[in-house]
Amino acid sequence: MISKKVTLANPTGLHARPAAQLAQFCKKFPEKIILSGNGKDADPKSIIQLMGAGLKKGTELEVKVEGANEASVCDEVVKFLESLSE
Amino acid sequence: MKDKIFAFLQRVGRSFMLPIAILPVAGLLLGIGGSLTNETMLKAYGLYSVMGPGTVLNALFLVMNDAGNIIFANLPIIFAIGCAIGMAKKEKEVAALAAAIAFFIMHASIGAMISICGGADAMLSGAVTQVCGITSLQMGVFGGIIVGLGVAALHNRFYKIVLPDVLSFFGGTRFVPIISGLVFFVVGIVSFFIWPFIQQGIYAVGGLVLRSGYAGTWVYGLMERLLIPFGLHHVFYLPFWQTAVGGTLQVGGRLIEGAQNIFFAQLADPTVGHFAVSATRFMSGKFPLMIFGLPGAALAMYNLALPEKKKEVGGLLLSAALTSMLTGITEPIEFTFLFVAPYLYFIHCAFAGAAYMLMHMLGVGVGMTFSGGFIDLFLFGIIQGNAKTSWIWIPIVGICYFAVYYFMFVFLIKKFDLKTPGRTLDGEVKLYGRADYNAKNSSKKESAADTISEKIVNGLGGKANISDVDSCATRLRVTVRKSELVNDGLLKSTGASGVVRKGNGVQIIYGPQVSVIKSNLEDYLETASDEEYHGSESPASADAACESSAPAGRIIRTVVIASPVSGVAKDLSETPDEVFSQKMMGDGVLVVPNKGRVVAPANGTVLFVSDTKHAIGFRTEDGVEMLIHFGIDTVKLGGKGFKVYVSNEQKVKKGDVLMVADMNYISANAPSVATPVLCTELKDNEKLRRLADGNVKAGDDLIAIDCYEV
Repeated sequence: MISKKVTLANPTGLHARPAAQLAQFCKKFPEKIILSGNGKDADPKSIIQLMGAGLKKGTELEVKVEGANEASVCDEVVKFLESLSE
Repeated sequence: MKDKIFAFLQRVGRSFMLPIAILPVAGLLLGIGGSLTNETMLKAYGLYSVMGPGTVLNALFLVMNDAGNIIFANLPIIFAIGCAIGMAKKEKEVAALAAAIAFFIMHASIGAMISICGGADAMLSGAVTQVCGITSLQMGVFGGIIVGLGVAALHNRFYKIVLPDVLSFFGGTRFVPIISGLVFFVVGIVSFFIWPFIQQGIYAVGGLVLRSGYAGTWVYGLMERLLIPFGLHHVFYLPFWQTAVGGTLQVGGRLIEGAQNIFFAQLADPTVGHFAVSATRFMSGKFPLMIFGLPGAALAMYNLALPEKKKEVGGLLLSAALTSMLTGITEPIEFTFLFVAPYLYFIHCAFAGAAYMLMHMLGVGVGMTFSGGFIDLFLFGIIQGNAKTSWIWIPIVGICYFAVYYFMFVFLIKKFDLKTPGRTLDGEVKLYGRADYNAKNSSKKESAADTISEKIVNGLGGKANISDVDSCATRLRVTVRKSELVNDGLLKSTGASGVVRKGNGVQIIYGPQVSVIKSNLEDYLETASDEEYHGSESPASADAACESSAPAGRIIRTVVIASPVSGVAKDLSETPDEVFSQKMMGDGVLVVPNKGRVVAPANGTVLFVSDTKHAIGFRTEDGVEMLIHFGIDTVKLGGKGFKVYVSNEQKVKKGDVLMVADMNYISANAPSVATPVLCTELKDNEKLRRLADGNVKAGDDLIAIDCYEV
């Protein structure tokens, strides 16, 4: 397993569109991904879990990935989170 | 065209069976009660002390008399309602109510016209009567049949009518009583002017009869029978029985008017040597006809009934024959063939005339209280002795009549293949066997409607598995006995956009054309064989037009989720935000709420309420995870305008209030109140269907999720 930290910078946090985009992005990977933050763990492939986690702007997130290409997947997810703008 | 008229008359005849079924019972009550309470008769036989007024027996017979009489007195409305029920294609109960309403309105209209035009006294005597307490024209059963057929025609034409929105409450079946009432309001007024001419014609015939001897007696008998279907025979014969039209005679020093009055005066006069045939010529002819002739016809119909229908038909015909024989009430038999073969009835009328004429020629002097059954024959013929009545000719002529009627009916029914009771398989009780049905269909071109209906029936597990079929605006609602026999795939192959199952309830969603599908299905069910269907016809082979995007395999389960808000349900693609309309958040249904109250769409658990309160995560107890997102861009309201009543992980029941949104505030401060109701975590083998379109209330079915076999 590999993990990386990232701070959520987009204004609405992981809500609606960002959450949907993140979930769609993460679903491409067969690896198991966990997003920890705000004291909760969420599966970023699940919109409901992402939304339920209530991740807002400024939250420090830990992206954990487990699987075959865990390192590269983890990098891609972090890059995606950083790129969120809405 | 000929076939059409024939089929129509057959249906009319069948529709008469319901009211006719009560006639034998009513006839027995009236016949026994009426004969045995006749005071002249009681005095003549010295039974006055035993059965005269004031005795228990008399009271019993009076009650019987009235109980039976009420049916005959109200036969017109009974026929109006019965005929409307029989002729209405669907929603028969509405036609029944409409018929009663139309009947009352028609007679009330006639009654009002009578009083406007000078009251009952200004009309011909015998032309006016009381119909259900309304002073109206004597239209008899014919008046009831006009109403029944007219209302049924209006009903079949209008029961599905769609009215403009403002009047939509009065649309559909509710329109039927309304239009029926209006139409028969007019029919009533028109009848007031037309009917008296028909009555006058009848009176004119009466005058002719009296002046023309044996031939006149024959015409009298013919006319009396001919008028029975129209209920006009009373108008016709009562003048003969009760007035000078039927002759006058000195009896015991008094001048007596009317045939029946003469007979009963002579009955009470011990000095009479032989009853006056000039009077009984208007009565005696009924005996050979009713005791012998018509039962012969009944036997012919019974013998020619299909073997498998004999038992059922036997009951009907035997009771009808006995009624005719004992009480002289003949409508039950006559109506069984009148409508399937009107010309047979004409022949019957000719023979009836001949019976009167023969009795006249043979000098038979047997009178009657009201009709020519065995009870009257016994009381006024046999007991009086052959010397006074010459009654012996009745059985002699009668036996000939029995034979003539039997062979004539056998011959005509066979020759023209008349569909008298029990000669068709499509009656009320016997249904086609599957083999019969297939054989029939292989010879004819199978209609597309039947193919679909058959598939629907098979998809529902066979006819035996279907307990009830109904429909609403868009879906067929069926109750099945065993839900495991229902094959959703096969049902979908019939063009359904979805199948929803709840216990033994199955809803098949077709859209607005469902009413046609339902009608076809009901027609099909009438003839389909009553068995279960266990076939494994796959939806793919059943119909290539089957929804192509549906995952392969069988639906193993369907979960139905209610709308969390009241408003207007729309396709998710209409959401004014592409993250929802493009299904980026998952599939779902858009509801544009008109109330701010958000309730639990199913029993389940609140997963979360977002900090900004505008979105609620929910998991149903079936495991479907949902997101209810109130309004568009409402995240930016920061929680203002929402009041939340639940907390994370709280278990709730369907319909529990989750939160209430301030509609005014949100409308004013967010781009839209449109609320996507999403199932965000559907698996590949799960498919979402929208169940509601347009107005939906919180708690109404909104979403179905079909889970397919993988």
